[in-house]
Amino acid sequence: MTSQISTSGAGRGDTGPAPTARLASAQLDTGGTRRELLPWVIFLASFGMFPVLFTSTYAHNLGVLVCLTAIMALGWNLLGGFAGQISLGHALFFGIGAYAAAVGGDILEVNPWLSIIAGMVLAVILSSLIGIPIFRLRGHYFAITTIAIAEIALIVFLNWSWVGGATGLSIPLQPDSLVNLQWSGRQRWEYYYLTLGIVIAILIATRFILRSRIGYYLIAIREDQAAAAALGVPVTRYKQFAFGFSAAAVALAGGLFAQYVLFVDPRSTFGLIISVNIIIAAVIGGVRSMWGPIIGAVVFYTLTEFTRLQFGGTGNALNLVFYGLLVMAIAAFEPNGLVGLGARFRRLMLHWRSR
Amino acid sequence: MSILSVRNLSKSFGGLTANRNISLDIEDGELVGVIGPNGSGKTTLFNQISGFTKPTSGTVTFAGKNITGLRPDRVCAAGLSRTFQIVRVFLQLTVLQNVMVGALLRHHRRADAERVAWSVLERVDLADKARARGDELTLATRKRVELARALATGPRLLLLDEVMSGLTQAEAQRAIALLRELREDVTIIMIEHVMEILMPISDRVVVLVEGEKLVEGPPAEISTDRRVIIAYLGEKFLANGQ
Repeated sequence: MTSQISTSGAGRGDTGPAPTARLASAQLDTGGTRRELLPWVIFLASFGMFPVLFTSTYAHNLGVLVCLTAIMALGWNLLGGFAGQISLGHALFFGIGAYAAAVGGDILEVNPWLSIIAGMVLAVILSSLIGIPIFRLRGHYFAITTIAIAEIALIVFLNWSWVGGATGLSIPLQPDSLVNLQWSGRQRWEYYYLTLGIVIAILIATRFILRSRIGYYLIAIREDQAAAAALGVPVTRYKQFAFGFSAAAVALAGGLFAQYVLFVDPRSTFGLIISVNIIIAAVIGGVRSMWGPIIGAVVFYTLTEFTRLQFGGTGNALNLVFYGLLVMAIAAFEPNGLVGLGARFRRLMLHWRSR
Repeated sequence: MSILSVRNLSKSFGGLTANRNISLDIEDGELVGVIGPNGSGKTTLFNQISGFTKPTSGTVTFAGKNITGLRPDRVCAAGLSRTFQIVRVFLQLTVLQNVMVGALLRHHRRADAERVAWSVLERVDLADKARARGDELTLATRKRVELARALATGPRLLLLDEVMSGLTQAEAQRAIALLRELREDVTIIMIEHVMEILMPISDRVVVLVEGEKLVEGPPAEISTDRRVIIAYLGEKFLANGQ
């Protein structure tokens, strides 16, 4: 079997209408290994070389944030992009992960890896408990409920004195090592390659999920829940799986973030802006593609930094205006995001060449 | 032994009774047609049997197992598969992928599911459309994809909700030929509006009127039954009167 995208050049004419680059269907398709290789090579080369080419603290810091955002957007996308359950409250899991690391470091004084894993487990358990009632809701109701739950968590943590209330918690300094998950160097090599490694692991996991029964079932649920159920898909169980996966990924990013900045407070971890940033990255890149969230995370930070450099401190709000416009444009013209735009462009080139 | 046994099935939506005390027995290997005017409760009956609507009262027994109120996916896993009156093909997926979703129920490995899906596509004469996407298909093809998808789940009993409606004469003829083939190994209950379609292929026809079973019997008897003619003429009269 060749992949769907490759048919846009070769197998024209089998099916009547000219085959188009089919993002959703292409994700599920078999083989096409050569096609699949190119994005991997580009991704590994650019991300692998980035901190070598740009050695400033600033660039390294940016790289770490891009990787953390990519981890979250990839996780979110399995639920939001593939299973079609739009959560606007994933800051909840970011906060859980971040606070698990902080509580583990500052209060319980346990190894950060242990804390982060505990945070992920907690996030998965929480997602299953939340999932029971909210997966009865669909569409907007689901989305709105997820915001509400994250906001409740924010208020709880603002008022919970054991975890520092509104002031938050600091993670004490430890000697530099992988075990302690702390490095004090001016550059951020270690953090960068660690987070990049996790991005790669999640990408590989996503790829295997999409090409297994789970991937087919998740997309079937997004396309038509009733039809999926009629074909034997246990809808709630698969939604729970996607929810748990995304919760774990976002909690992992939260834990790493806390360990990176060594400080957490409720607003910067449970805040609505965290949920929104995850979605912006996924949506800009393209929610129906495995690579969308990666591209989205890169573009997100490039735009943020660009506006900050161009317009100084006040640029902070201006980047949000940009994202707003960009997300609106994507929703209106190319729901498959930049990846979809790329596919369109490629089709156009093929069309021109064949004339 | 009957493969499906429906006992005193009733469903009310608030004050509206959609099904009242319907009992029905389907023998293994039968092809049974269900007809009735609009709003006579045909689809509600299917929804109750397939788990999409919980019955107000009554029981559904399938292959000796009580499936009343079971979730749709469980009903499907038990071997009872359905199609929808308004087609619900996964529009973003290709025909092959649509059918694979069904095949994955009993063939968990993707390569196996793909093999099964291809053989189903061959069988329903859709192999040449395998790479077309759901939203590129005509209504007749979409209906056929739904049928293929349901078949791919490996059912013992198929519930077909108006698979013929909206088809041209030629398309309907093709669909009838296909059903004739399929009934060799699967029991079928099909809802249709048009008696002419059911006449030549069904062993038995059940007539629903206003949520109740009016009469059942061989198609030749049903088509001359006075009560049935009145029920249908009444509908025609209303349609003309508007």
